[in-house]
Amino acid sequence: MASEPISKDEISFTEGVLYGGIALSLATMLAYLAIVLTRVFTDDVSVTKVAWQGPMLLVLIIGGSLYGIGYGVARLRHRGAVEDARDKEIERYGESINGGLAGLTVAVSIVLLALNVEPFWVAHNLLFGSWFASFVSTAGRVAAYREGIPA
Amino acid sequence: MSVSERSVWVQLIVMPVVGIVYFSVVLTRAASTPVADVSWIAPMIWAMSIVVVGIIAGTIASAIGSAIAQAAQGNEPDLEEGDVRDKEIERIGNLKGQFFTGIGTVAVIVLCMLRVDVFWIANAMFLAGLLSGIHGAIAKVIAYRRGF
Repeated sequence: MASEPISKDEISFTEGVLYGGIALSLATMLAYLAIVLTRVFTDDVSVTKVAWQGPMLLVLIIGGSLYGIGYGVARLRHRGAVEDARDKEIERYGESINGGLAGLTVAVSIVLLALNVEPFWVAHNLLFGSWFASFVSTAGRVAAYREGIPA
Repeated sequence: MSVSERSVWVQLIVMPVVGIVYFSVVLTRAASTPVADVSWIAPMIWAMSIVVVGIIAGTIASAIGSAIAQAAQGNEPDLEEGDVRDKEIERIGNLKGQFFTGIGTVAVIVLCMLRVDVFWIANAMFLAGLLSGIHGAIAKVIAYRRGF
C-alpha cells in the first residue's frame, strides 16, 4: 500500500521530537531555577556562593539522558523515514538562528572572563545563553513547519 | 567563485594561522610564569580583531585579484554576491560549527564548577570558538566543492 503524503496538519517525526524537546527543556530549566533560587533564599550566603554546581550538572545529565531515551523510544516506535528534505531544510534554518545567539553567548562569556567576574556568572551566562539560543531556534523551526521558511 | 565562497576559503586560512600564533604566544608565556599572571586578554583581543579584519581584507583582496586575472584573460569578472545555494551552504556550515560550540560550552561550565583559573576557562572558550569556525568553514568548502 502506498504511504499517504503528510498533510499540513499532521506532524512529522522530527517535528514531534521538537515539541518533546521544548517540553523537556522547559521542565529541566524550571527545575534547576527552582532548586537554585530556593537555595539563594534559604541559604544564608551571597548569590555567587550558592552551591549551584551539583544541580547544574544533574540537570545537564538528566535532561540529556531523558532526551536521548525519549528520542530512542520514539525512533523505535516510528515506522518509515525519519526525516525528509523539508525537515533537513528546517533544521538548517533553525541552526542558523541558534548559531548567531550561541556565538553572542560565547562572546559575552569571554568578556565576563576578561572582567574577572565570579565563575558563577560565566557558567550561568553560558547555561541561560545556550538555553535561550536553542529555545529561540526551536521556536523558529516550529514557525517554519507551520508557516514555511522565511525568505 | 562567488564572494561568499571566497570568504569561506579566507576563513579557512586566517583562523588556523591566528589560532596557532595566539596559542603559541600564550602557552609559551604560561610555561614560564604562573597562569594567574599570564596576560591573555590583550593577545586574545588582537587575535579576534585579526581574524575579523583578516577575513574582510582577504576576501576583498582575493576578489580584486581574481577580477584582474579574469580581465587579463578577457573574461567578465565574477563578483556575484551569492545566491540561494550560498545561503544554504552558510546554513550547513553553521550547523556543523555548532558541534564544537556545544562541546566547548559544556567544557567551560565544568571548568567553572571546578573553579580552575580564569586563564584556562577563557582559553578553552576561545579554542572552542576557533574550532567551531574552522569546522564550519571546512563543511562549507566541502559543500561548495562536492555538493550537499
